[in-house]
Amino acid sequence: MIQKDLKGIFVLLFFALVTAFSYNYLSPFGIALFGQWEESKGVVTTDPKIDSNASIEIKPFGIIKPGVKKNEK
Amino acid sequence: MKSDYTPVFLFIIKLTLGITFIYVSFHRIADPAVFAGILYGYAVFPGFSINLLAITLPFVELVAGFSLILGLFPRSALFIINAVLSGFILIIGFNLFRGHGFDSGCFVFLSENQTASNVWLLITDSLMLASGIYFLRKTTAS
Repeated sequence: MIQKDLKGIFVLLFFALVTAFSYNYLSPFGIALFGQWEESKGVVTTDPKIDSNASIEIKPFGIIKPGVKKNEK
Repeated sequence: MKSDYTPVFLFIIKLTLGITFIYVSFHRIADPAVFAGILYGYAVFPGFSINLLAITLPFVELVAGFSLILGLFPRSALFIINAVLSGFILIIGFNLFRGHGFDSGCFVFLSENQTASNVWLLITDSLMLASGIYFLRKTTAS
């Protein structure tokens, strides 16, 4: 009985963990495996790569038009 | 002694525990970043484990809930459910004891008065754990 229960627990946990990590990897709402949760290091966040400057929006550059050469024409 | 109502009672317990775990897990799966913040708010988990718990725990709850309702490894699912409930009871009780305010993140509609909702959550979790242990004992006997 106990061996059957343990086997069931391992099966359920294995299935849950595989599903969890797969979903987290594929989902747009997925988070990093390790966050930054130490207040002493600054902002606490799920993504350690994001820091307090993350709110600054950097707009994408447009395509730079080719300049006109001096001796052209 | 087994009364005529025992199977009905066990069925109600099974549905209650299963549906509760599935319902609670959906909110957490939908937004793991918010759940990670809630886990951080408990102030008991080490930093490295918060994201891992936020990713995995909701799926453990979901799988255990479905497994219990569908009857796949029901005793194993009950062991997991009882373990999760015991963990939450310990953490909620510990935080209430030391006066640490936190958002439980279980039921959104209970969050108006934080302390009262956490006490209520402690009571409901204890009742669910008691019914889970009762269910486990009954499934052992059969």
